[in-house]
Amino acid sequence: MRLIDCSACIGYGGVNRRIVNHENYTVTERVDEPKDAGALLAEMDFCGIDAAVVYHQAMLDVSPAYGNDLILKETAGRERLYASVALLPPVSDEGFGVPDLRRVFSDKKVVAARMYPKINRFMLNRVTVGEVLEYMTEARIPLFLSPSDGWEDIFGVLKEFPDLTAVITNYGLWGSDRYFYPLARAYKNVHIDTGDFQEIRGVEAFVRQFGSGRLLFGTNYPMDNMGGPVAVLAGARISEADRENIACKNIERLIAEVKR
Amino acid sequence: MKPGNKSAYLAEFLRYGRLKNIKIIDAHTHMGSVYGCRLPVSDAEACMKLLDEENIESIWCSAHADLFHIDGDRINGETKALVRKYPARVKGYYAFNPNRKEAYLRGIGEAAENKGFVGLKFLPNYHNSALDGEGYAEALDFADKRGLLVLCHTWGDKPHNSVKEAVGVLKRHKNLVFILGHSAPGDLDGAIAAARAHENAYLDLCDIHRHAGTVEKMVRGVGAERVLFGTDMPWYDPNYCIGSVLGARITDADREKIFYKNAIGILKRIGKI
Repeated sequence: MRLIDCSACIGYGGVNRRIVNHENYTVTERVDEPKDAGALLAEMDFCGIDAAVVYHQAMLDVSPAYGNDLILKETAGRERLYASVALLPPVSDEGFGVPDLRRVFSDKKVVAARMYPKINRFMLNRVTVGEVLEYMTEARIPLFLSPSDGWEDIFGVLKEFPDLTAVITNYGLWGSDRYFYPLARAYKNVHIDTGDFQEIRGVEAFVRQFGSGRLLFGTNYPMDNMGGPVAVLAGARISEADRENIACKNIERLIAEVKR
Repeated sequence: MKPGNKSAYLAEFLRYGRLKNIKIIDAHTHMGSVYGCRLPVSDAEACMKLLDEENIESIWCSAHADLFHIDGDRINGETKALVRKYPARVKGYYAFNPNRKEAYLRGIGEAAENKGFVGLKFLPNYHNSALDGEGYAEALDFADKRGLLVLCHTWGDKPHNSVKEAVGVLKRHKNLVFILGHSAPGDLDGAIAAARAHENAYLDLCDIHRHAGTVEKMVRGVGAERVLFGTDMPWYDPNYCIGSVLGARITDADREKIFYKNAIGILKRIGKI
């Protein structure tokens, strides 16, 4: 069975790593960070992970444009790594308009996008990024969102764009069923990165209620190590078909669905 | 692809979805529902079934209700009931709340005299009392005199239970065995330094194990013999913590200590085995 990590990060943090414990509460701790794609691949080899969708810490610490350049360089020529890019509102920021995105996503290495509205000080809604979200919905580009500063943005944007393909990531170790379940029930294209998924028999409970098509194996590396999420998936009491969906098939489907 | 990690225990886990040939003692658990999260598995019966499924021999536990609710007539009543009902699977921590310390001190003898109890459990920040302050002084003296285990919640950036307060306690109490609960997230380096300086201090994997490199850093810092397996059950899946240990760049001999041998060593040291 192939393991594809839906979300791992490359690059050193400026000081320490800011880690989501649960929404609105973070811990800053020194973790082992992969300085580049080579270091990430070495850890993937050690843990038996075949491929990964990656982003760069500089997208957060410096700027989306700077980090995007780095992640495209890091993934170039590396077959096991797919890139995700960070976006800003095109009404204020050049280089993030829909024509720009069409060009970026014409590269098959680029398979997903991310938005960090709080740290980049914009509203994640139709008024601010409506044209981008319409394009992403139409092109079926997965948008990775973290509730690190609260869940309101995620609930809000999905209310306005109910068909958006969204992946909830980096949500902390506290169980989040009271957020996940309503979103999964209301929006068919909402998916959950399992990197932080630590509830006892939580994977089993989610699969029973929503099927296995909505969970994506992820490590949230290096905020999380790779061994924990691998063991959660390997130890889950689910069918092998469900396990394979989570391990690789769901993310492969999302990548294949992106219209270029 | 096959992992480069050649741990025999990892291979076993990946094959069977559980560890079969190594026993586990979970040194940091709770029981019952709690605010904040839905816990799909939280009552005692379901947790005991989980222990069987995951080959966890026993747990050291302080029930949520005993930590967060003061029942004047039934202090630590939930944990006592668990210890009585599951003597081979559950050892208890006597939760101590310094906000009603007279009531808790009246029953504290249970922690020493009841073989089913291993020691005391403190939550200084939650109880808004400094670990090295007046509120805990008599309980710590008692634990030290009787050579008990103390599991204390520690957190790097929180008042009352940072590494500084823990070191203050460790300097004064050499006979008790002190677990730095969670190993002070945000100040793991400080927790490691504290454990290195005090032979009666242990690091706890609970919660903090999940970060990349944490297990290795602990083992490098104090040796595998002073790292304890802990999950906060029923908050978190033991498989996640098991995976953190299996996926670390340490030896299988280190893993055996972390999963089981260190806990047995503590039970012998405190005379509870």
